[in-house]
Amino acid sequence: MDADLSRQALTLNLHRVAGGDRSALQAVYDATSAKLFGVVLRILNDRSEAEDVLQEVYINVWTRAGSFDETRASPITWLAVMARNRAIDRQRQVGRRTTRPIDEAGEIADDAEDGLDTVLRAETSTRLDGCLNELEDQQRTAIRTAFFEGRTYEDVAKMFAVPTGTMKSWIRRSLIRLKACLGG
Amino acid sequence: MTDTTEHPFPDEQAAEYALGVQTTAERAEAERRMTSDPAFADEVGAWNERLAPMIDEVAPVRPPRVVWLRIAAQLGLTRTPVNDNAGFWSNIAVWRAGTAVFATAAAAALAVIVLTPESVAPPVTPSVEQPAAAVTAVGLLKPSEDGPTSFVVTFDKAARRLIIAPVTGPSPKDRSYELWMLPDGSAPVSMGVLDGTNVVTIDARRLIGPNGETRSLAISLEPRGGSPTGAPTGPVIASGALEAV
Repeated sequence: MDADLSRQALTLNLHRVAGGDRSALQAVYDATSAKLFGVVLRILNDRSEAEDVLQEVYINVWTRAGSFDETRASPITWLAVMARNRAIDRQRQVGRRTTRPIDEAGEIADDAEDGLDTVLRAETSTRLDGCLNELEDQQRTAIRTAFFEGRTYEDVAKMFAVPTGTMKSWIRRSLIRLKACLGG
Repeated sequence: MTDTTEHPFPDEQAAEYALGVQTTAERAEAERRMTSDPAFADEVGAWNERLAPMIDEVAPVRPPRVVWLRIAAQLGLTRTPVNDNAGFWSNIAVWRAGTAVFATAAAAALAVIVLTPESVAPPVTPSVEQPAAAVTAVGLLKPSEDGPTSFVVTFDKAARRLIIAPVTGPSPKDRSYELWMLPDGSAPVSMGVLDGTNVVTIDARRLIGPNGETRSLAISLEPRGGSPTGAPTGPVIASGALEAV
């Protein structure tokens, strides 16, 4: 699907959801649930917890779609941020089920097709990639681990076997460099 | 390595919130600030946009369909189960019509009708006694995630039996409960009707997928004797998935 088209379709559907249109919620779910499930599963590492969070996320979409403003956020970012935040909150409550090695590969590969990938590819992923690649290897891996797994400074520090203060320093410096690289 | 903690950059709290590295208390503090400090909320928004492209790398994983059924149930369609007859399933029909699996689903539904002479689901025979079951999975069917359990389903994989114990009480007069299996990506398949009073045992061979996986289940409220169409026509009053024990 054309990226602008699916982004517009998603925006339109979110506005229809805000107006109380259930079929629009189904369309949003259909287009985005596989991606969001992948996101929350990566953070929680537990299917049952991830299913509960996914349910919460779409209930939130239903009740809060009115606050979506496409001039402030792309529809994809809005949905993904909501999913990440709910998953992180849940993870802080229940803990991550099992630890696993730092692995940047998406090992839960699934060929589920949704419109979101197309939209996201059109966004700034190549620019962010370029900026991430300018970081030192360990710091890039730390940022990515924190983001994908929703871990605290303390957790990431343990994984890297460094003091929490050191990890804070790595990540904060990396964030500053990313911001500068992306143009402030 | 120097610690930058003592020289925070201006939007540090926003960046850390967006990245997700804060503790519960720090997150709560950031969320409070977002509601009272629009400039801070903008900083968080900007960081969300900066980091969002990483989402692109996360492999999509298709959630089981029962998640959608729970969402639909939680959005109020189970509030008046006796009166709300059309909304839920007609929405599901609309939803499914928009997907590529519709043809398959329709074919599956047709097959069920063909196999069932009067196009009415076969009544379930109340079991006279309960032989000791080698329980391999248990499912608690609920109206919503946090709702009370309405039916307890135990699955005896070796004997391929499904034992359903109602908790909810008898079905309303002139109505029957109907149990549906929810295969991923195709139409619900009737497993039989229940009166909500007796513990029943049914042959569950159909519940085992091609790879040995078990299915999600839902219970709808139907006209007495079961759905007249072979597909659910009434509201879903409970759903759940079998979990291995």
